[in-house]
Amino acid sequence: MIYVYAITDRPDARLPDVAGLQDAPLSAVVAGGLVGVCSHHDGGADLRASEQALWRHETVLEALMGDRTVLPVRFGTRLPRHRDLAALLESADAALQAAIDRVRDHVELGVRVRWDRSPEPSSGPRPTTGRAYLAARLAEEQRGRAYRDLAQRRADTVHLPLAEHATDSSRRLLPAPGTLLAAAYLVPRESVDRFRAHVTAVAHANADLQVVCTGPWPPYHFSPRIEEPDDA
Amino acid sequence: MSGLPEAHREVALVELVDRLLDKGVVIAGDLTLSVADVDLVHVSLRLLLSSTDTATRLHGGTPPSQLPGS
Repeated sequence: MIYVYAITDRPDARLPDVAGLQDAPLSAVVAGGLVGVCSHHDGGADLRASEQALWRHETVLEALMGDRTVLPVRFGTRLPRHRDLAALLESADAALQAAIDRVRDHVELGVRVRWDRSPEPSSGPRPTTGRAYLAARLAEEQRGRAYRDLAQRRADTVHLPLAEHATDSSRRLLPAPGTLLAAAYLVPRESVDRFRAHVTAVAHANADLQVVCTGPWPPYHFSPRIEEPDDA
Repeated sequence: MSGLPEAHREVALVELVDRLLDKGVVIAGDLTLSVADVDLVHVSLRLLLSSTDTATRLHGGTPPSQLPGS
């Protein structure tokens, strides 16, 4: 069985000197102009997600992106044999080439914004009549809507200025309790330091928010789902 | 980086998990994880946070000293 880390378009580039999951050596499957980077494992190998396995997958990706454009493959992707990966690269060649072109010479930077504001809790006595219950429900919906509107406005003050400096962006509003915004920005490699400076400026301008920038990451948020080729 | 506040250490790992388990190219093949597994991983990784040096992975982020409130 093989475990797949990434797809690149540099058949001429040597694989980096890092090991894959369970310290397995990396190997390259070349098909046309594409390369699938993988490692071989026994059928019974335990490749479940653990913190160590996730970081190892990421380490392989980061080593690859040092000197080539990579499409990161979702953690946990396995195929039976090397030739299955080759066949997949051939069948999806055009889509994968287009996806690589989209992120060429770019990296992903993450911005996560923590916010300690919660929706206002309901107040007043417990409703005892149907009418009071409906009124309480309506008030609760209005409070929730106001909270989301406020969250949207605050998130915009962080996201919109940053998105102007990115080739592409992706964001989630209120993805988890205490988190206002989780965003990803596709940024040219040579602009990473400049983008971080923009993040720092935005953080200073929003002193009640805790803005954390991470990366550079491989372009996880800007990599596509490749549909199964039609068997017909 | 080992002096990062716990909140920032957590951010590094949450950012990693969000990407590896939910993003990236999806190709034909056998995914090790089911949706239910992903939820379990999120929970179990959070429990691991206090015993691991994930802070070193907050590479290149906004220095904590420049963050408001630090």
